Amino acid sequence: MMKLLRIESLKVLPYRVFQILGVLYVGSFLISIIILPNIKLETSMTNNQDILNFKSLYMFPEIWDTWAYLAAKSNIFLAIILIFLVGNEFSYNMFRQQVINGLSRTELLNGKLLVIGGIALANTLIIFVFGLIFGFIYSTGYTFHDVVSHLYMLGVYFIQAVAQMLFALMLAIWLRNKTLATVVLLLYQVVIEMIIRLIVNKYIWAKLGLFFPIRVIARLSPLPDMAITEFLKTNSDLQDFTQSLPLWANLLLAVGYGTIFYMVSLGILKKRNL
Amino acid sequence: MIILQTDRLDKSYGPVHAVNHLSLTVEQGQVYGILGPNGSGKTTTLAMLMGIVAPDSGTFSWFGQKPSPAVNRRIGALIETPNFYPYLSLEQNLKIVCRIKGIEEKDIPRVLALVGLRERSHSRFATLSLGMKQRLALGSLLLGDPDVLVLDEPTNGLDPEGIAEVRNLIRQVAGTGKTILIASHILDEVEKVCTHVVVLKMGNKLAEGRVDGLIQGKELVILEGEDPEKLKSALAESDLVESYRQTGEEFQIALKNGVNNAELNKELIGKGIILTRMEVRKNRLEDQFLELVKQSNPAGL
Repeated sequence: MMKLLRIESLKVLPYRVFQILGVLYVGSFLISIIILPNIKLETSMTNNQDILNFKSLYMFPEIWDTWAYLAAKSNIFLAIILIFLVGNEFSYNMFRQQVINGLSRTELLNGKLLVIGGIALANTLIIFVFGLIFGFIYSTGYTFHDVVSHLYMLGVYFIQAVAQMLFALMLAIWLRNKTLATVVLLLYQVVIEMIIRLIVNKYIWAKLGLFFPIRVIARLSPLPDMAITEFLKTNSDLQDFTQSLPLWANLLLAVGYGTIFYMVSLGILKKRNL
Repeated sequence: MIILQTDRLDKSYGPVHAVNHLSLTVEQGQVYGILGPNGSGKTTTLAMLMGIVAPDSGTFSWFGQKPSPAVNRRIGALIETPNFYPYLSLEQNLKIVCRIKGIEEKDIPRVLALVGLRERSHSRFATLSLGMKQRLALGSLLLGDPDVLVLDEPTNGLDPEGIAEVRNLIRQVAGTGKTILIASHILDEVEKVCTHVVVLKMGNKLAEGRVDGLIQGKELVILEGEDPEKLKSALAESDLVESYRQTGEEFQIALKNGVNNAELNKELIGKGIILTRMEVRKNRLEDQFLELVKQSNPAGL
């Protein structure tokens, strides 16, 4: 395990695309959390109230929900970074070379699993540190219980990030091509699954769509309670966007899906000539 | 000691039978050539032996053990192209190899010096010329001083100087008692560096054996004369002839060491025997070598 970790860090850390995407990812997250509290959005539908009311979402304990939600919005970035890292192994023939040099195929995949865990952990830590800082700045009159009571959302975020990247890992190993895998990832996540969900919801069972992988993973960080959430929930046309399984069910399903993605990746990698 | 043994290894890619029930034995200290034109199954064979392609049937063992990642770590192997991360330096790339094989990183400067790339150790791999990449690959497989090397077309893409360097390096390494398995489509290369050879064509084994025995074997002289009976008795009496065989009117003669066909001709003329045909036929394997080389090099040699 330490061996794989060192091998992966030798490969990943000096990789320019990783560095740039990493800085962009963390940077855009930080900028958005700095700017958001200062946005006031006023619309007629809520009688000119500040419907987003971001500031209150920067207080303990809600801050952990908000931040997990915001960070998860850009998880697709992480998925693309992962596709690049795995795609490189194929395009540079390095999976092949590493097997020649004496790694097993399981070790190849577990190396990538460590990368996924590392990226998810680093993100979770960043959210934790900046969450504490911003929480202390914006919260007034908090107790210790307020600070920690929603901290579990960071654990949920970690699982969400891992599951999202495992999905990308499976696509990258299946397709062996960075560009193709990225396109398929975006198409599936943004368009295809939603269409399938709408169809099965309509013709099979209204809640079936909730069990689809991308929906399950996305719902691990629910829309924070805001005025706009209430508005969305009352609009039946938008049900697919607002309905959700309970968090524990989503967690279990996400872990299950993650395991399936890993096992499928391993199956493909073991069977294939490199 | 047997280093490598394959038992009826077989692999097809769709309709193409890349390797056909190939059985080989490589013993310690041999420089074992796999000779054949492009597409004869050399690379597929090596790829199976290194675990990157699964055989359809057949088995093989290294050091008497079943194939495994641990076995691969004891072998230095270069198959097809040199593969490294282009954005990493030579040193970083070799560090990864060291980690995989469990070799001390202090071996890196030694192998870089050995292949003449010491000054480039901090250059990115992508900036190397083709010849340097090939040399780096050779350096990489010498990391940890493995007992067995597997080389696939090691002089591919090198200039004449590079080819000479690489061959010297191989001979130097072979001189230390290592076992080397080397695939090549160049007869000359196999002849110069190998002790043993197997000839492949379309996945089939045509021949195998010691290089000196096979390539520098005795020539066969084919004779026909106006009077076969007289010719036969002359051959039977001759001190120049080691053995002969008669097929119809044709005699196939193996001459004694150091005797050439001109001497035999002179002797026969002295006995008043008139030949209607005299042909020197090279060793059967060499015919195959030439045929193979011709196919992979249509312009001829």
